[in-house]
Amino acid sequence: MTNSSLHIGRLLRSTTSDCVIGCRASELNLPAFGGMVRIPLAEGTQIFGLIHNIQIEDDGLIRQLITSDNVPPDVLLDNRNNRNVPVEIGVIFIGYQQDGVISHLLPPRPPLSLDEIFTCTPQEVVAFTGNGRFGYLRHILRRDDLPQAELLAAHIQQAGQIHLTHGRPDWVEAVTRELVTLLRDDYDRLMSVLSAIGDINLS
Amino acid sequence: MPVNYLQIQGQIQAKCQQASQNQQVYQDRLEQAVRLLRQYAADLDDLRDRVNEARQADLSLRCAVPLTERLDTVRDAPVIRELPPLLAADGSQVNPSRHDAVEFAVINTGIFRILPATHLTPSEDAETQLYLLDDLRNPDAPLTEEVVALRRDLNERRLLAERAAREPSQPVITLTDGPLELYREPRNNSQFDHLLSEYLTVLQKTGRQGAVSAGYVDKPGSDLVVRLLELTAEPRQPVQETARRRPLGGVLDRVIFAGLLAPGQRSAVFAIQSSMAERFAVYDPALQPCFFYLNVGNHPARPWMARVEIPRGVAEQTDLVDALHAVLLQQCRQMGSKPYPYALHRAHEIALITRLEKEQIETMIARAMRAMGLAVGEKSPKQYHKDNF
Amino acid sequence: MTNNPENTSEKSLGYVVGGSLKDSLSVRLTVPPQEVKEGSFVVIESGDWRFYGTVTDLQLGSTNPRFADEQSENRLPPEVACLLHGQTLFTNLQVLPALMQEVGPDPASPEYEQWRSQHPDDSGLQPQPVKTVPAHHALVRSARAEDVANIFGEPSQRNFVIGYTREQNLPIPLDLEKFVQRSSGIFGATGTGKSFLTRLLLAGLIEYNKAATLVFDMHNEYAYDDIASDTKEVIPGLKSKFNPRVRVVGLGAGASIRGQSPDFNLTLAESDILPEDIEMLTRELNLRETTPATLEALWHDFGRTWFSEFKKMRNGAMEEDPITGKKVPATDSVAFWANQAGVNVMAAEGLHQKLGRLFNKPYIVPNPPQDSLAEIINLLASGKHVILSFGDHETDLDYLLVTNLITRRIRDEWEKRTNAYRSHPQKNPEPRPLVVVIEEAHKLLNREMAAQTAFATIAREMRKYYVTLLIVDQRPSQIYDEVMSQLGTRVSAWLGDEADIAAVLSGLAGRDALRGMLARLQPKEEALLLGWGVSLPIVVRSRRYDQRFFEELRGASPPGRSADDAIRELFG
Repeated sequence: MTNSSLHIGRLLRSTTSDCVIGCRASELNLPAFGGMVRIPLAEGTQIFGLIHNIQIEDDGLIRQLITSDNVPPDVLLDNRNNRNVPVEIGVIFIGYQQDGVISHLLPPRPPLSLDEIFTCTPQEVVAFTGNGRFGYLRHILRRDDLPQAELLAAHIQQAGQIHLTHGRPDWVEAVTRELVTLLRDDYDRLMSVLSAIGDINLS
Repeated sequence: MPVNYLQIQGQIQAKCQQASQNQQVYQDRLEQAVRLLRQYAADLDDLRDRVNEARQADLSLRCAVPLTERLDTVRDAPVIRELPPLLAADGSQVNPSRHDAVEFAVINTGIFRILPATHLTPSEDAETQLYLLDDLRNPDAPLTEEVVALRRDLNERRLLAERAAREPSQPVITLTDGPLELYREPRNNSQFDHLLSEYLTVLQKTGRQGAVSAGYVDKPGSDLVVRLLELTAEPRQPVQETARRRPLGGVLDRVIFAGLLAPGQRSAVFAIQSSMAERFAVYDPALQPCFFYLNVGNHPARPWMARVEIPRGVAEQTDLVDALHAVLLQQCRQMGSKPYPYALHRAHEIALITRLEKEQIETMIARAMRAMGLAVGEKSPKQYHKDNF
Repeated sequence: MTNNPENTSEKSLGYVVGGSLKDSLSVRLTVPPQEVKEGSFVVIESGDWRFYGTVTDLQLGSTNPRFADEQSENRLPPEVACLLHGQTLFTNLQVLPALMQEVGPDPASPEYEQWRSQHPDDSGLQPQPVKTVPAHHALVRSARAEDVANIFGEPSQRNFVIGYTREQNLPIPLDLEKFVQRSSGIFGATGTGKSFLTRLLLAGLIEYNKAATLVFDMHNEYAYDDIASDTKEVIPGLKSKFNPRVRVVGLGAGASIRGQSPDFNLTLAESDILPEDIEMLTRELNLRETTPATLEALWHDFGRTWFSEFKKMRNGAMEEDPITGKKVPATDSVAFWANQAGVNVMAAEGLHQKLGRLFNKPYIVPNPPQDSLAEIINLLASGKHVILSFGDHETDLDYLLVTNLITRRIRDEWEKRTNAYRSHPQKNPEPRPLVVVIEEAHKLLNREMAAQTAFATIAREMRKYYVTLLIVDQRPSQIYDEVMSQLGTRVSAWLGDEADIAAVLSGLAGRDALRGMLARLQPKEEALLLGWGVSLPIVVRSRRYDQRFFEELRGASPPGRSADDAIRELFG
């Protein structure tokens, strides 16, 4: 995660709880699965989200190219950098900030088409995930269609690393404890989440 | 009511039966054509004489004319260490339709530049030209579909010439889909003449810059070489008579060359004899359209023929033909089982105007017209229902 | 007790999650289970009230049985498994609440002023038996020294420290004043330190000196120094430590106790023995059911000299009838007397034969040199403590006969003195409270005997005559339950038998909860204090009875467990 907020794409479509961002394949090194993004709206409001899906579509040409014995570098670069093959990034909303106040509720309204999406700075990640009592986890746990365990592990890995260097080494433990509390009546889900968290490696 | 498959089935049966009866005739003609090709392979002067003779009798004669290579020439793919840059252009258009709410035409030309087999990202560009209102109402130069097509071809070449001029080094290959030779209708009006001369100017400019102009014809249906061979088929008959009787009718060039060319090989380069080709040559002898066949297939059992058109100025420089030959093969091989130049496909992709985009343009125009107080018509009910089908 | 010494930094053990007055409270443990032990004294802070209770059980639980079933520590990294287990696996404490006390709001809080004005003094704020339950999630903590002091009293001569809490080594005193007011018991299987507990308590009582004690020392353990069978350490004798105050009486003339001469010897006059003393020995002597009739006849014929007369008769003696020349019972024979008295000859002869064991007892003499029984009573009445050592007469027969005989006399005497005091308090002194210490009490207080001996009466009603019992026994289940249920203070070391455990707990609230605690006491040096005389049931590590104990008792240093003690406990 870099220290500054980087533009990663623009909004394709959204609902009150999630959105899909389009970005160029060449910019795909910026967003990461489980990474936190922010979508500034007007009047000092910005939505925080978590990348839960990155989808690379194919088309006829791509399908044709893979039948070739080898794909030369120029063609590879052309397809990555030029061609209008959409890379779609799925983001679920986990909260918002209004006039500097962070809330773990869903934003009052979704962002609009072509709104810009940025990565969150470490400061923003610390401020959001360290605020309150992990209320934002609800939004992830509510979504049975997501790879929850992996998403949570990726998020905890990234945010935990930031907290570690920002003076809260116990953050991972705290968030894990909260997950146990939230999921302790669902043995299977909890165990899969904890197994994933068990694979986290913070340095 | 859907298609009447029963009726279709019957017709298919009948027509296949007919074809099967004609099969032997066709086979005989094909064998004869191949035999003639071999027989007259070296008689280039004699062949040219026969063409001239036939041309005298029929001004509209259309056939191949041998240049310097034997008819049965096969050339392996040349080994070239550094392939020249390739510029491909393709156009796409929206034709004016009176059924639309707003009548307009758009020509979108995509340009794709690639340095084959390097680690550089190719670049792409597009130029969009809108024809609206007064552009469509000129009684002297009505913007018909043919004119739009002509303008599109012209645009492709014009853009290629411009881009080729910016290249730091030559040669550069400029490639379009389809023949170089123009045979759009109507051929005899001032608007066509004007556009044709513009086209030829551009081609001439391209050639003088040292760039290669080439047109790529996939799965060619032409019989230019067959027609040349026909002129030798009946030595005792007057050639004009033979040309009319078509003793080798039904045989296509690509079938003959498919038997001749191994994967990657090209045929001899021929010139084209046609009235349009003559107009090119009159403007500049170096612009006379020439062509060769190229087997772009990967497998000996599955030959795939393309006809590549080039101006005579290029045809006469072996190194340029070799460069073109090599680039086209490299481009086609990238497409795996369906060989076609990658750059051309990409140019097409860039140029393509989707229905959604067309509607977007329509909306933009209508909005602007309303803002200016201009009357905007309505979509015809027929179009409305088609769109909603 | 008006302030609320809430120390927020102190770690709580857990919080209340359920329960009832009837079934004790459930407390979710928030510390490792190793930090709490069964029998711990805990305090529950619930608003303005504080509850005191005892941990009676620890139970393992899980929010979902699968968390308990699956060994998730094998699947997860240790730190994650630890977090999981922290929330899904837990330990519940069962806490038996015993007392509650209004403590009011925090003195620093604004509500305190108003509360204080409603409670201007501390009357009514003393701990009282529980009548309600604490609120959900009320925090539970280990008792602190001030809680122990609040409930059990500050250690003093009256508040005799009998042991220390298991976890924090806080001294737990017994209120000796209360202790002697009712009969009490010390129980424990053989080898659990029962007699040490008895020594401790006796030392405490003698030091406190508000009651006389009479110890029936069947096995000659209490008077003189002894050597512990396991540690080979010297066990100080009470006589050695409290010489002038303690008198040792040896049974029988010339008795010596552990090589020492007792202060004086006890001999019984034959006239002291009453028929009921014999009836009481029915089982011991294997007497027939005809015995009471024979005894009645003897008493009728001879009165108080019946024993001497009967003893003199010759059993089976025959003589020739000078008239008939036939063999007839001799005139000094049992049969002769029986025929005269109209008693079945066989029965009389049988009884005589069986009483032979008594006739030969050297401590039963026709005319003792002094009335040693009266001497004992005088000593007790005058503030001395008496240890009656049985010397060589260690049989049950000796024990039953002597203890019963003496106790009967004492009972009569104290009844008389009490009545005299009650009638004329100005003329007569108030009788000195007396504690009669009985070892092997089940021999005297079993279901059959209880009705016939003086002890049952004492246990039941002698409280008002200033005499109470201190029962020492390893088989409390053998003791008549009516006697058991009368016991005020009960001190029990480990018991293995279910019936014994049930007997110790008879008549107490929370029996079910306490049962496990008793069964799981350490086999040595641990005891459960419970009953009327103890504010709430509590497990203590008993105080060591050694030289150091006496130093502390004499005020050389306050009671407390030294580092030496701790080391000795650890390494034996």
